[in-house]
Amino acid sequence: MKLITAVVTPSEFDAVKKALNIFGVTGLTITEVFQRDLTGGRNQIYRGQRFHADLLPHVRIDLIATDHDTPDLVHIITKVASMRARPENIWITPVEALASVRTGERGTDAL
Amino acid sequence: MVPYPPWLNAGDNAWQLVAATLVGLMSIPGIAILYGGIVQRKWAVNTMLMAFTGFSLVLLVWVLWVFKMGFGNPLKLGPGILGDFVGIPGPILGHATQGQAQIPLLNGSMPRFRFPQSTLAYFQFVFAGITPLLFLGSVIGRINFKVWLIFVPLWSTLAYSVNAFLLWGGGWWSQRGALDYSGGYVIHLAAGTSGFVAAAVIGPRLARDRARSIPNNLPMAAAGAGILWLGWNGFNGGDPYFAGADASTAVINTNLATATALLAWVVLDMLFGIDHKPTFLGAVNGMITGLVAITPAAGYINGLGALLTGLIASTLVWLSWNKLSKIKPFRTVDDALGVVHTHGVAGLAGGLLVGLFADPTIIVYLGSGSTANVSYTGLFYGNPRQLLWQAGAALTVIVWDALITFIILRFLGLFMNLRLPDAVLQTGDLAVHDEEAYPTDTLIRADGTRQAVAPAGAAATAVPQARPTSPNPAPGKRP
Repeated sequence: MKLITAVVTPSEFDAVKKALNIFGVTGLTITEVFQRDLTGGRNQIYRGQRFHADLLPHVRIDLIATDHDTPDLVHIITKVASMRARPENIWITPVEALASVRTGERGTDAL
Repeated sequence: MVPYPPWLNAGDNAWQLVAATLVGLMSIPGIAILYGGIVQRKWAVNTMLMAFTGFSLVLLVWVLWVFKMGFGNPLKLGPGILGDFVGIPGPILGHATQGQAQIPLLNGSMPRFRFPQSTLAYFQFVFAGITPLLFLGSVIGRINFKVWLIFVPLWSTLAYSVNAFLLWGGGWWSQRGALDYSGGYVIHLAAGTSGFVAAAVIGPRLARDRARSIPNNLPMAAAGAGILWLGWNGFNGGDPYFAGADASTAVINTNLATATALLAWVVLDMLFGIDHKPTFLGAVNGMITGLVAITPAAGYINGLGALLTGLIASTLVWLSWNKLSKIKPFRTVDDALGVVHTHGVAGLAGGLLVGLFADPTIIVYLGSGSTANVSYTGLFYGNPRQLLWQAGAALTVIVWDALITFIILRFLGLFMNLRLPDAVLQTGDLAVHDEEAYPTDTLIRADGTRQAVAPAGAAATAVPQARPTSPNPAPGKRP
């Protein structure tokens, strides 16, 4: 099993979610995260004072898949996300074990 | 049976009570959520609580002794200005408050009141109540809450009573002819001065908080600002004390000056501001500047005067906010929300402008028989003395309020810390009140005890709770 983690912009997120849904992936864990803005960030002005903000809001998607499905899912995410904007990060981590809290199933059965 | 005595006029009494309520809404929730929204996320609760407690404290001392100090018989302290400086303190708790309202020194110089004394007392209270809330903006983010609870009643007693008596209670400056329609000096110049002095005496916020004073909720600030603007219809519209033509003049002038000042600030931001962009909080500053500047003038000037007042005051305060604030002592003293500019400078500007724009054809009270119409004349209509009285009254308020604020805080500083310890300032609301504006319910346990966070590798040594009823660290002590 693999843990696929993708960080996409909020505008790409809906398309990625929809695409994954079409391919039958429903179990996503979503986190709001920030990424360093590589273009240098932008200023905000409050009460005549300038503040610099170079962290941009992103959406982090975590999902677990079988070794067999993983390349396809990575392909779907990169394809959909890069259609909207420049592809953000995606990385894959091996998962040692998996258990479902609700049913007690183990391994790929718990997916 | 009859519902009320013949001197009472239902329309006047109804308007006065509505106007008073509008002004009360400016304090709570108006100022509470405006300031509560502008401050950093970690100070929202503290700010709102200080607003609500300040309002309550002033009402208590108001009925116990301060109302009479502002609007009662003069206390003869000495010759000249000292003889008409402040009133004799006393309570207004008895049945006499149902009788016809009166301000002893103004008998004969204005029509007799057509509502009871309790209406007058409440109407004047909401003004007294909002003043400490305004200068709260100077000292938020570091003032010790206990100091606030003691400072507010003392300041109302020693500073506000004098301001009110001198200009509204028939005191010395009022007898000279100095004008303050509804509080440009008594309230706003006083708040700006006292806030600035208090900020200097108490000391600054944490350096990091000063550098990163990011507001936590602009929509909430928008709601507060809107309540302030429309509440001001009562603030200025109630001050003739009668629901007459001058009240109408004051209301439209107030809105005209405010709209002009708001737009002027936005345009100034776009022409000369940082990055040349219009900002919402800039517009709010302009709005407050317009409201404050028209306050001493609302029912004395004509529409053109109101328009110019808004324009001139907004320009002056914009310069003060963006340029003067870079110069000592304005640069060093940490006036957190810039009250000295939007209330102090704006109040002073409005007060001086009424000395120019007061229009003798704008009638405050109609004459009848042998008495002439009551109206006032400024420099542009041929009365240069008016400007002199305006400057003199401003100077008195500035000197007296700065002095009293300095003395009270230095005195309190002998017994208690005016400024909270740095450890508390780093945490904010949670350290001071055990409450926060935006709590995350998933991070809070329901049984009220604190999860002992054991360092890695020492999980077996559980730390017993010393005080199970209050598991939080005492203020000032780091866990």
